[in-house]
Amino acid sequence: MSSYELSRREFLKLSGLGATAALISGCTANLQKTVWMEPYVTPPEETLPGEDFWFASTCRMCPAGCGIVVRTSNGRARKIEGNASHPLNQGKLCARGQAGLQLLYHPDRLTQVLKRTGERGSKQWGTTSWEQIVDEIAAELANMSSERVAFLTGRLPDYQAMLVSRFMDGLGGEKPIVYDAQSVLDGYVLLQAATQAMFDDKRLPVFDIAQADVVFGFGANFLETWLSPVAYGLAYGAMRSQSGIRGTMVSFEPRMSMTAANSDRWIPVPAGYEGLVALALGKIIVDERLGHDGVADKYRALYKKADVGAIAEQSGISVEQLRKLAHLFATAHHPIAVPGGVLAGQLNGLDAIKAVTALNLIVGHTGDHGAIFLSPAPPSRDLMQFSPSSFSEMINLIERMKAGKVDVLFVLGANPVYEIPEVLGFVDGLAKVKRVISFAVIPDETTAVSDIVLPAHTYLETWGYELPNPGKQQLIVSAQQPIVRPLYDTRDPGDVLLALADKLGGQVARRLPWPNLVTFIQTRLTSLQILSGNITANDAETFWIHWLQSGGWWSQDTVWESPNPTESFLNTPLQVNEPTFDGDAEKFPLQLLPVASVAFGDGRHASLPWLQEMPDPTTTVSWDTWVEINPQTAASLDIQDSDIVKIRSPYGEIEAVAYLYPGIHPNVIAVPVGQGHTELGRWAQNRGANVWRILSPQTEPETGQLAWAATRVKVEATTKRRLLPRLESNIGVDRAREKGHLPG
Amino acid sequence: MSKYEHHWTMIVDLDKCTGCQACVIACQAENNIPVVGEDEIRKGRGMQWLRIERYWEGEYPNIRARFIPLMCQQCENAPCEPVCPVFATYHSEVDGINVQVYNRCIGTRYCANNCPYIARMFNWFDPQFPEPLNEQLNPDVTVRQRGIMEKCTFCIQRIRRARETAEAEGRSIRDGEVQPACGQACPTNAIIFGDLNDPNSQVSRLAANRRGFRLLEELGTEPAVIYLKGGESNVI
Amino acid sequence: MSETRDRRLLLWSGAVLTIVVIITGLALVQIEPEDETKINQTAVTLPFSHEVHTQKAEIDCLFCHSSALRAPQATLPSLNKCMICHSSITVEDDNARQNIEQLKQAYENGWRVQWPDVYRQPDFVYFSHRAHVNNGVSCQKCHGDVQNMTLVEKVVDMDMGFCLDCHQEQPEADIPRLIDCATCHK
Repeated sequence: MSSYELSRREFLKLSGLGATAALISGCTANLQKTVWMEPYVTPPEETLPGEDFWFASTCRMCPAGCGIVVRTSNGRARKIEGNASHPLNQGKLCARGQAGLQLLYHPDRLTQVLKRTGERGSKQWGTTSWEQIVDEIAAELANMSSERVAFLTGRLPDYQAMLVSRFMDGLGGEKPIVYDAQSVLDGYVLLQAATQAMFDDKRLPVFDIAQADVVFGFGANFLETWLSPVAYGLAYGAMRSQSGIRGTMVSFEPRMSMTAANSDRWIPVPAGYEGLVALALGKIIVDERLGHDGVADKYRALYKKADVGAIAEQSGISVEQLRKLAHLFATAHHPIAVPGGVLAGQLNGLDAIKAVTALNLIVGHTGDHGAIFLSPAPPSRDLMQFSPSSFSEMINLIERMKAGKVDVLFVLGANPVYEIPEVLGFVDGLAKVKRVISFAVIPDETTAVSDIVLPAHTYLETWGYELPNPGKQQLIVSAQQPIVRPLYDTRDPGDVLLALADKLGGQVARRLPWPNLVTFIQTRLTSLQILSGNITANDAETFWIHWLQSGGWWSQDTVWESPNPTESFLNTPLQVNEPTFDGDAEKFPLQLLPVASVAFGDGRHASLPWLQEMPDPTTTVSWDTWVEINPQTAASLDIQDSDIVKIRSPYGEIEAVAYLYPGIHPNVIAVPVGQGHTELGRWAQNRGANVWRILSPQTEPETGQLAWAATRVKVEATTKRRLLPRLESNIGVDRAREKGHLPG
Repeated sequence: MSKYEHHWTMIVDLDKCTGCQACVIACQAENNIPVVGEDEIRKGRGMQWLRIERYWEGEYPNIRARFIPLMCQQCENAPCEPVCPVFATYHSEVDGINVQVYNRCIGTRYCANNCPYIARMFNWFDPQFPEPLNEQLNPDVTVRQRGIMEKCTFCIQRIRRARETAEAEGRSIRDGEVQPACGQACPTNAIIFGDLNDPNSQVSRLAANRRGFRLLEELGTEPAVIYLKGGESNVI
Repeated sequence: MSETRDRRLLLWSGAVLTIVVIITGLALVQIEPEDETKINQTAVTLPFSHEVHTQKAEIDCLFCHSSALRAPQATLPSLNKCMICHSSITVEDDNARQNIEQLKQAYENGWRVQWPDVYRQPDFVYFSHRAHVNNGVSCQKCHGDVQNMTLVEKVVDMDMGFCLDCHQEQPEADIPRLIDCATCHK
């Protein structure tokens, strides 16, 4: 007993409340009401009422493909957790993954097939049956030349992507266009193009951060949103393990992301100079012959054109600091450099990624523990992995639409009306399309201007499989199965395509010959049965059951496949141009950096209240759109915390609330993506601003990928203020309240 | 060995915590914590039992952020306990944790006022779970009404379930068998939970770590949450 | 589960708080409120005698309430289980035979059969049949002489005092846990 202790009795005496009689309210149930109970007619196998049942599946809240287990009791899904035996996320799960239940049980879900009755966009809908709508769509497709049909998707789960791809192939139409805003923000296409150019391989490289002792991050926000944040989070935890050597991490990016915030040192590089800094570091390593003996010599040709002095001047990082950093990197046992994210939003993004990836080569360190490696390729074409298309294909689609060359447009897993630069005129193009058919779970901006809205199952109500990419040193075929019976009259888009193919007959039916999704998926798995993995089964049925129970199949062997640089890459000097930005530097003095949100990703999950109220890690703001401004820049513009400011680009303007952010380069402002929805249910609607709207449509020259971080803007104060809902105190911000102008 | 049957303890490794909020949502999902909306957050009335505080260190350009996940510290000498006039909060002699009995609480808010960690949340309004969002609610946890104080329970419902299972199987609870929602979700394994009475448990080993400290140690509250100091590597 | 959150005012005297606790003896799948309208349209109720089943037919409680040993809830038997016997067994009494016919019909047509609850826990109580039955608490201890009842009636007011009276009679080493609030209050 310490002298500190105060007894309850003493406290009551002290507070003078001991003698006060009080009325107590408690949470008592209504005791009169009869509850009717109803037994099963035939009970589901092995259910114990009140006991939990866990089903393994695959998370689809972002494209990463983590394994999940879902707790169900009395027929309802209660909690989503990571699948502990899944190699990718090993029992762990991020905030978005946890919030999947709110997608399933969202009160504003689409519950039946909708057909437009009023003007397009008027949101006047009639309802119809699935049979009728499938007949109707099939009849329309049958009488149409196939090049007038387009299919626009997000990054779908592999099973859906394959069905869509075969559907369009069967129709004889163009390949589906895959536009996935999250992948755009990750730099997916550029990363793929860079590995193609450097290693002649289309697989995404995997970075073994877990066993690295020095990690240099160049824009890749791998702890928040980048590609596979849970897998990289696990790796980060291991890297920080203090039982072994504590890894050191340095981040080079214009705005301190959560990943940079966790680095031992954040180096604010002006926007677009990340690749140049990497180039300078490489040049120093090669020139000073750092790293493993003689290895660097092999790469001398790469750095012929690099000028360390010039880069030091441009980036504001002194030659001496660059030298120290180069030494830190090259003298480590397991150094690793990770490119992606914000640097991929620049016009020099591809070259920048190459320059960063090259750092891994010149220290003689690939395909090893703590290095860059490639995950195993799928064993057969039955299990193809699908990648996003280049943005130029999207632009091409818009042009075709505008020219009246598209009569039917399918949209699945994407929300193009919301998430592409407004200046490209997607909406104008859409007006020329005769029939817009959207699949969706919750009505969004695109369904609002569609003719037919097909309500889709959530991932917790349907079957599927996924090959995570980037994966691990094992091949993974993750399983997806229904956790609960579908809540509404919804269908899996895959099943709809199968039904359409059946109706259409001919080539489409030959390409999609399966009666339903389950049969299709079962045929995909046959190649796995003979391979050595976590499942031993002699027949397909046993394999299927074990596959569902385990949440997937993964190979027994681990392979750390080293990427081999091609001759042509080694012989061409690396060159990274200085970044250029759209907009006149005089009129638009600041550079706009849209930031993928850890809560909403690219904005698709703004509908979920848990995620809306989740504080942003570095600013602690929720429910709103803020703009991060360096305090020094803000002072020069006479902007204070919580002022509403206008952000104007050559393509339009939005309003956001100023947040004075000490971790951002003075020339850059950052705005999180995800808010500013006009649809997407009660929690997302009419809240904050949509930064996609005002972005420049420029594309990276080689890949045609959207340069989403290459827009210049002007920030102007308005006379309005709005306190940000944030966890961090508003004291010192709320001037009105301090002066006594506001109550409370 | 403490006087409790189990001495539940949480270790939070600040060197591993990235501030990613996975634990926050895991906690909210597990414990039927309502969303309060923008205006209430502005007033500082967020209900999340577990929050991640962010602190800036230094100034641009030499700046870094530190994250500290903060939940009820389950103090041995809990300042919240003696001030409750109705015994709605008390120290469990079984689990060594600070228990809040919701149906006893009358909402005086004395406990919250006396908590130095701001770990207690008050229901200013009845929680809203528009149908069918209510289908998700965890049947093992009460939905608290307006006027009730609530806080992190170390996921006591999971401890209860684990105890029942262990008892039915005629064994004691294994190390790692009870995982609070936050620790289970944490991608970097920053949150470790277990029984300090078991000398071989992971928490017992980590509790001896030289980086260990407790929050506001000088107050003598003796929290059951042990933080491990964030690391430091000097980089140029 | 139960969405009723009516608030009541209770009088506080001294430091003793009395809260009425009703414990369910029959709980299985509770019908969620939104289903109630449907129930009235399609569901049927059937009379059922515990006396006939336990005395005449000599069926053990746990045969029908089969998960009482293994799960928190004791289970209402599924119609499927009723039919194990009733597909071949019938009785002379006309009334009862009619009821059995109705049961068969319900089973064959997949109708919903519903039972009113007799004992019910409020939302804030965690009760597990498994924990009690495994520790030798007989069914009758809480539910009375169900085996002699034609229609189950409530014989015990399952308030907190009722629970604690029994909990305090347990071996001394177990008492701290058995009287800890958090053991039963969720």
